[in-house]
Amino acid sequence: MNDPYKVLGVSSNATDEEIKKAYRDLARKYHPDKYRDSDLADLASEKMKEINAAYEEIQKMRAAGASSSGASGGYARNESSTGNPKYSQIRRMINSGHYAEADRILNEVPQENRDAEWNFLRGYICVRRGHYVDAQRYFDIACSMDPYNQEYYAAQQELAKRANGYGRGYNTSAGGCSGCDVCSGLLCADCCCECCGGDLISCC
Amino acid sequence: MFGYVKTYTPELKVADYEYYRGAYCGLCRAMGKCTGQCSRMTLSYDFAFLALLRLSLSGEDVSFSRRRCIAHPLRKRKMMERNRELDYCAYAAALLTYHKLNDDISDERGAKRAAAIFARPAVKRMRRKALKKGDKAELDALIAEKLTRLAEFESSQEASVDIPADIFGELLAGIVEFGFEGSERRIAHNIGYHVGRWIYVTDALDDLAQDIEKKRYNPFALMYGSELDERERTLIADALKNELCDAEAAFDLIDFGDNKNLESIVYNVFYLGMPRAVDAVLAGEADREKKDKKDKNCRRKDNLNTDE
Repeated sequence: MNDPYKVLGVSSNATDEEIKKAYRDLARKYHPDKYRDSDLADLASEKMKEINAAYEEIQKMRAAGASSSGASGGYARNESSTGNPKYSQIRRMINSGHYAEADRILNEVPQENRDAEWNFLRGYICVRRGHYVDAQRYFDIACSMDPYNQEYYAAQQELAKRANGYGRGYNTSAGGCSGCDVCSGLLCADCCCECCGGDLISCC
Repeated sequence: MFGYVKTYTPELKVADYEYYRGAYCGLCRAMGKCTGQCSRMTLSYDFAFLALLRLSLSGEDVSFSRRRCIAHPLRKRKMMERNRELDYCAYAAALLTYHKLNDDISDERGAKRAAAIFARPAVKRMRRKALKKGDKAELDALIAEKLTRLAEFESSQEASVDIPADIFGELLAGIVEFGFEGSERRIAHNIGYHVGRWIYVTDALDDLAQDIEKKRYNPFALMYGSELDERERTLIADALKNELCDAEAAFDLIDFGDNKNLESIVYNVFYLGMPRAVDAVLAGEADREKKDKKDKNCRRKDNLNTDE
């Protein structure tokens, strides 16, 4: 496999935050929603897999290198679990990049015991694998089961925001937010809304 | 050929700007070597971008050197050494110029037709070189076929912009993808197709007033009449934005590797240069509505100055 840091376009001594940001930017770039109507969708999903694998690899390497310091990124960092020891174990697995293992344990939970947190964790694993439709579904269930949980809500919103329109993050001058930026931001937001069936700016 | 696909220079880094200039000069030189000195007159930003786009897709290594040229005899300039993509663009430009000229001879009247007839022998020579040295018979046939279909459609006076834009998109797709294989070919096809459609629509919008004056075919004149209102302008602007949105999906799949110069030039053209070209065309259109021609000419001159 290629150097995972190179795949994400970061240096090997980048901070966890930088890596997370690079990963998110790339995930947005190759997001399946953007390629829904494109006949290049298969190429984009290959890229997506590559990025996911690289991110997982880095997480794994860092977890192994600094297991005591608890270096981690991602949604499941704050352990707001309901006290179920099984879930804290799964969160630890996810944080260290062992998704398959975590998924296996989740699957063993009997149907009647699958609560909000179960759905949230399942959704989180789906995100890592690039299965965004499933992820959204699990997050939605988690939110409807436990509507006041900030963590689930944040994950749900974050995933929904990923589909971004034309012009994402392309840097122009460093001079802050110009009038042009505001307009293009609004247009992007409008594009996003329209993708989801809504509309922000009614005239376009 | 059209000049809509170019960089927005103020936002370009100096290193990227030099790279771009080098490629532009390199293309000019390649044209002189491949298809004769006369063909250098047809040098355009669009073909410079085509060369850079194909270089991004092929990942070919490039080198630069400092040379003098006819246009700038006093100071040596940094220019890209000849490579496969620059040569390809020179040949493609020659073929396109030839077939476009043939169209002009059959469609145009007056001075423009006379100029086309006058230029014909030189352009014919360019094409002969492209066919002989460049081995581009297949590309020649493709360009001829698409331009004939476009001319046929335009003479039918049908009120649609999507059908001719489609033909033009296919033409450009053919030019961009030529010689590539596999996923590169698919990405190239997609970019060429959407950018081609975008160019056609932008050009039709830009030429609207002139076409009406000279009674030439223009899809928008047939669809909306001689003057566009606010709603129609928004409609067209949105269609153009959508075209860029579609192209973005393909642009994002280009693997630039370590070539940051190419990456930032391509995205500068795509995210800044092309939308600005539409803005300029729409602004020109708005001015015409107000019959404020003087102001428009001033602005054009300003645009030219900032571009230099």
